[in-house]
Order: sequence, then structure tokens, then C-alpha cells
Amino acid sequence: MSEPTDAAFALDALLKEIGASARLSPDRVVRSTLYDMDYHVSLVACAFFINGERRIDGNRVLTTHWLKLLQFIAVRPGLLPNFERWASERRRPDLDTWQKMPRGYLGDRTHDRTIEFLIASGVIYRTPEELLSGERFEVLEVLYQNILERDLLASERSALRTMETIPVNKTMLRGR
Amino acid sequence: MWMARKTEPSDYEKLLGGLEGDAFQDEVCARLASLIADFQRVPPKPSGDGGLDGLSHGHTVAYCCYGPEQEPFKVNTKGLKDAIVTKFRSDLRKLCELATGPSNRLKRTKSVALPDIVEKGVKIKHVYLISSWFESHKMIGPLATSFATFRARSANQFVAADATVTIWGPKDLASRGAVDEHTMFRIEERALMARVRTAAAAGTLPVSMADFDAKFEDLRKRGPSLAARVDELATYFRKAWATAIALDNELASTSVSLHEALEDARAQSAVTAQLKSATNAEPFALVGEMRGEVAMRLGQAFGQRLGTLTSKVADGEVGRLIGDCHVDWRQHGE
Repeated sequence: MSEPTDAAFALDALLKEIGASARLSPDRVVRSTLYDMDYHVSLVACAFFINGERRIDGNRVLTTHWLKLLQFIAVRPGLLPNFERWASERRRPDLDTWQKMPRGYLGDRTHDRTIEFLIASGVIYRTPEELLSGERFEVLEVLYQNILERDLLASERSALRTMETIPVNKTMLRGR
Repeated sequence: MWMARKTEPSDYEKLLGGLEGDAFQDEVCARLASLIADFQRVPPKPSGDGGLDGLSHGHTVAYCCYGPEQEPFKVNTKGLKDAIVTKFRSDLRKLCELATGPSNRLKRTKSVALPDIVEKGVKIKHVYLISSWFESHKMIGPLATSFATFRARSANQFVAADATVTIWGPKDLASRGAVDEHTMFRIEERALMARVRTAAAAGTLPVSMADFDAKFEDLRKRGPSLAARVDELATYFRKAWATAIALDNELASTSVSLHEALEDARAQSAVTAQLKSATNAEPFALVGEMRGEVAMRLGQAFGQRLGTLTSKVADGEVGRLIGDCHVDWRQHGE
């Protein structure tokens, strides 16, 4: 097969020669879990309980952009070492460390839509810079308990626990 | 107390050092073009590049690039050094219009390409040899000596008799001028594609290929005389699928928007192919049509960014659809 573009046509020709009629399943192509809302809701639940701050009034709070970054790295733990290095050296910026910040998280629209849904459902509230537990926050609480009991999302929870030790502030979340 | 920080290679330097072949040459030319106003890239068509990859300073400075495949030399840097010296020696010989005759004797020859590349009457006074690996000073002496020998034997039509040579590695190119965001974006994209190629070459395959294998086994049984062609196609689509997986994995970690575009291209192609399949009376054109649909969607989503990978990824997505059970040709009940 000299030209790769010939491969599909070669397969068609082979199927015809053999008399094997190709057909397509009517099922839809399954999308990656990266775009699965249930998965993202579960990540938000884990982040709120592992990384969220519990206030005196009982509310749990997370900085909006920190949550977005947390869940992004949690599903891509390979980015964690670079992020840790960036976070520790960002006050002495150079081109080496500048590149370590996984800025790709800003384009994660699935997370944004998940948060919109949770806000619309009354599960969380949004203030200008923070997200806090809403009147139906027990949805995330029950979900998190289920995740713990069944030992699900172990890799994601491990990454979130590692990031718990990284001090976060707003300047940092602006990539500076 | 002041403390020196450990010097590590810059990201640009590391990424540049990891590029091979045309990807390395393209990045070096892009970098030089951003630094030197009159940098002129030399395309190899129609009659070769005459050993030159670029020119600048009124055609008095020449650039030769080499990004060797590094995998075979991971544990043998001497082999890598020798390969680079051999390649650059060949470039310098071409610039001096020399060829090797019997028993490696140098003889003068006429370059077909150089008269069309170098400005008439101008001679090259300095040559930069730019390699993706320059970790051994043992390259400097042999190349300088060879260049002196070539100049002495040459008619010096294009290279000045007193021309000089310098070897550069990724560190030298990284330290010339600022490495701005645009430069980093450009090389990261090249590096991304290079990593996809490497990962694809490593043959990352899905955990289970049972359905994929069963479908091709079905073809072997139904057409035993065509078994060799079936094997060839199965191997090809398996490798292409590995490329598609490698791209998927890379984009999922580094660029969510591009990964989403890939997912959309895949899903939309399947839906379009399903619609065509429902109305098309010709089932023996299904795979080709689906592949065309995937290639078109990839083109819409990525433009020219995937380069030559586009067709491999399109075939890989077809391989994935065969393996994921969307395309089937087995008879019912099997």
C-alpha cells in the first residue's frame, strides 16, 4: 500500500471481492469521559470536600478558578509535577517555569457548563470570585460519600490531595 | 547570601532538541526568519537544495540543518556524533561543488541547484551548521578540517576561499534573541506533533482489540486466498489507530479545545456516515466514504496543523470505528 489514502478504498474493494457487506451500527459514538457531565459533577464533589474550605457558618467554599484548575489537573495527573514546579518557582519567573503552568485549563468548557448547571440547580452559589455550597449541596455530599464507599476516582482524589498542599491565591490563578 | 540557581536547559532548547528531520529544519528556519531580516529559506525542489537550507546577509551567510533520528542513538552518542559529522561533511562538500570519487578522492563537480539559489557573483563567507544535538566538542575539529580541505580543492565559485564554519546546537539557537510566546507556541505545536508521531511509532493500542481482530479474521475465513491482503490492511489500520490514540491522548492533556474538536469531528463523521449508510445502496463504498468524511472534518477542525498526520489520523479513526463495533461486515449471528 503505497499511499495511505488508498487503505480505505482498498478495504472497500476487498470487502466487495469477498462479498462482505459493510454496515454501520446506529449507536452513537461514545464520547470521552472528559465531556461527561456526571464525571465532572463527581470531580466537583471531590474537590469541594478535599480542597474546599469549611467556614464557621457551615458553608464549603472554593475559589472559582482554583476549582477549574483542580479538576483539570485531577483528570490529567501527568501535569501535576509541572504545576508543582511552576507554583513553587513562580515568584522568580523565567521562561522555563512560565511554561509549566497548564494554561489549557482555561479552555475547559465542559467544566464551565457543569458549574452553570449546578448553580441553576441550587447545588452551589456563585459570588464574584468564589463558589459556595447552596441549599441543595447535599447532592454533592451524598455523591462524595458514594465515591468514598465504592473507592471510585482514586487517581483523581489522590491528585486533589496532593494539590491541597499548594498554597493558592488570586494572583497565581491569573497565571502570575 | 546570593545563591546560583541550577542551570537547566530552557524549554525551547529542550523542545528544539527533540525535533527530528523536516520538523527540526522547519523550526530552525522559522526561528532564524524571526531573528534575521533577510533570512531566506531554501526549498529543496526542483533540483535539491545544494546542501543549503537557508541564506542571509546578502547571501554571504549559509545555514545547513540536521535533526537526526535520535531513538537509535539513545545509548550511543558516538554514533549520533558520527552521523551528524557525516551529514554536515556532505553538505559542506556540496557547497564547495565537490564529489567523492573512487577511494574517496575529491573531484570537482558542477552543482545543479546552487546557481539558481545563490546571487550571481556573491560568495558565502560563513556557514552555520545547526544540529538538534551538539553535546560533543569532537564535532568541531573534524568539520573545520574537512571544510578547509574542501575549500582548498574547490573552484570556490560559491564559497569564499577563506570562508569559516560554526556549529550550533539547540542551546545556541535558544540563546539568540528572545524566546517569546509566539515562538513557544510554534515549537510546542511542532513538538506536540513530534510526540504524537513518537507515541504512534511506539504502537499504543487500545486495551482490547478483540472486535477489530475478529472482523479481520472473518475476512480471512471468507476469502482464504486473499489472506495476505487482509493481513496487510489489518496491520495498516491497527497502526493508524495507534496514531489516532496518540493524538487523542496528547490533546486531552495539552489542549482541551483541540481535543474537543477531534471528538466532534469523530462523532459528526459517524453520524454523517450513518445517514449516508441508510440511504446509500452501495455498501462497498462505505469505508471509503466514511474515511473521506473524517478527513474533511479533521481539515475543518485543525486546518493544516496536523500536516501529513491528517490522513493517518483519518485512517486511524476508521480503524477505531471498526474496532469499536460501529463498522461491521460479519454475517448476523456470528
